[in-house]
Amino acid sequence: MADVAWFVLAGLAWLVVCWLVFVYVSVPLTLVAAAVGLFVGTVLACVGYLRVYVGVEDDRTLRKPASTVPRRAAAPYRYWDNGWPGYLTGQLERDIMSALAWPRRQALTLWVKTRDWAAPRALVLVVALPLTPVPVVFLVAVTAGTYSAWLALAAASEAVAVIPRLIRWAAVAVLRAGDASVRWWRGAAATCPHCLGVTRLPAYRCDPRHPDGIHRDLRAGRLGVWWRHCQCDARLPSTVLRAASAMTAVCPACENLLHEGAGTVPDARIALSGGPAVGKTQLLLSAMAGMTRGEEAVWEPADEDSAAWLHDTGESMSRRPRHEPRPTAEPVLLTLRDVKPHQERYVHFIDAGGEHFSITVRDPALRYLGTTPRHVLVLDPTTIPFVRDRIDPALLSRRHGDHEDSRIADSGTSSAAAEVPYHVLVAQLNRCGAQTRRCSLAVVITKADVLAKQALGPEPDLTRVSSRDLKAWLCAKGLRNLVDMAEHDFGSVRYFLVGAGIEATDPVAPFTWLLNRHRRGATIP
Amino acid sequence: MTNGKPGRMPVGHVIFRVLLGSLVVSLVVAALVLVVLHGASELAAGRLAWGSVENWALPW
Repeated sequence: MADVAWFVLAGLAWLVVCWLVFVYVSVPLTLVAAAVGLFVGTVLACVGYLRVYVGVEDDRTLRKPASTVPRRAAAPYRYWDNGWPGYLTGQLERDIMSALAWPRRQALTLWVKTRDWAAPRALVLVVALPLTPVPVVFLVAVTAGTYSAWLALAAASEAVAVIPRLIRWAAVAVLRAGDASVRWWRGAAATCPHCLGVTRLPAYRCDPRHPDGIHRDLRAGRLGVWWRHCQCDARLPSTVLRAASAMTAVCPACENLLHEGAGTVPDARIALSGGPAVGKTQLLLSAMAGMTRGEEAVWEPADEDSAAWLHDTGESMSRRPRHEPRPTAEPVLLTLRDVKPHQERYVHFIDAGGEHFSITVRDPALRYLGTTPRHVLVLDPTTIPFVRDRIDPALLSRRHGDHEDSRIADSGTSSAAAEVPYHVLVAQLNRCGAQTRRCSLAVVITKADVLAKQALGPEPDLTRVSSRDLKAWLCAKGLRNLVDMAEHDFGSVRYFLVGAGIEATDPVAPFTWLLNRHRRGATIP
Repeated sequence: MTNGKPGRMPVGHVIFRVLLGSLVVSLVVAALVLVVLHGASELAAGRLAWGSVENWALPW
């Protein structure tokens, strides 16, 4: 009985001692431990931030140039450009998140070490039970201090970044709007002479230090406001207008060189349509010659290919017998530029072989038709049955014998056959999503010389033939359907008559009319 | 992923990091100064209060 009493008495004494130690030692020490823990946590968080800002964590934090990161679907190119992202476009948040990693590891290590120390010392813990809150509160305070300080510093960093971000967004909007407005006002675009692709946003080569680097979207934005920092350390302008004067423009699709100033100067395209051997090439040659030759010529070939085509085709077609250029699978692009040194502008003529217009199936070679509102439809009057039947067969055979072109034998001689190229043109425009009512069509009737010799023209004097006369003449010769469709489908239609040896018929007139109809160079229907 | 070796970090990154690092340091220093001043002011106020009452004659 006495043993039990002594045991109870000892237990009570132990409880009293524990109580006293808890009240007079543990509580004050816990308060101190909480304060020290909060301080240590704050220091850890600060060190975490400083480690990131000094660059210790760069290997896993720093977002580097990445040309394989996809962009949103509406972006002009699928992937981001190969330049450094701006600090305020996500890098700040990455730094903030990264700043938590090191202090969290330290706090976790403290918990683990304390647990590892306490696990085999259960008896010590029981004896020192009143003092247990001190280390526990210290650890909790360190953890709370770490997260609290990290959060407070994150809020401070974000608050500091608010005004620079607003300024940045405003500057990006102003630069983009200014850049795009000037180019829109000029009617600027870039037509690739190799793949015939048309873009308002050319790509630029990062030469000379990084000749393989192609920058496809040089606009102010995520990768820089006024300048862009390329992976190769080159500093690039962030607007197309500035880039055009400092860098080499290339096609964003095929990466071939574009014309000088492409994307920043007026750029117009005129597409020719017509069946085989209707005289498209002859018309184009005459028009280009008329535009580029003479003292008052305002155009000149913009590249060697165009100059060579003009020279070679002119020579081959002036020989007897005439050799029509062999039709190519891909359309031919010929480019002229303004001769005035400070008034750069380009006009492109796109001519596809007549074979592409003789079948109404989808033809990838005609994809270029959807890139311009200026269209020329070339009609050979000798394919209209009403006219053909009245032409002296000897003249026709002599004239065709002048050509070494087997396509003539295959050309159709019904009104419906004469309409096929028109149907192909309209079908292709619809397929491309072009609005034909926004397009203009110059219907060019070739071989006026044949009509003149056979007195089959709209007027005896072909120099006085107007567009209205030609329209009435076409209707009278069985092409009313074609005329009605053209007037219904296209916003503006005009008729022209051209032919070899007829001085009054100007082959340049259809092209001049189209260029005047759509002065804004890059208009895409 | 990157294409080839990326060059030097843009100077904009460096400027912002220096600014934000300075912000962190200055906030910590400001907090410490505030704590010290607050403690000192409390101490001074306490001493002032004690000085004014220590010589009071108690009514009993």
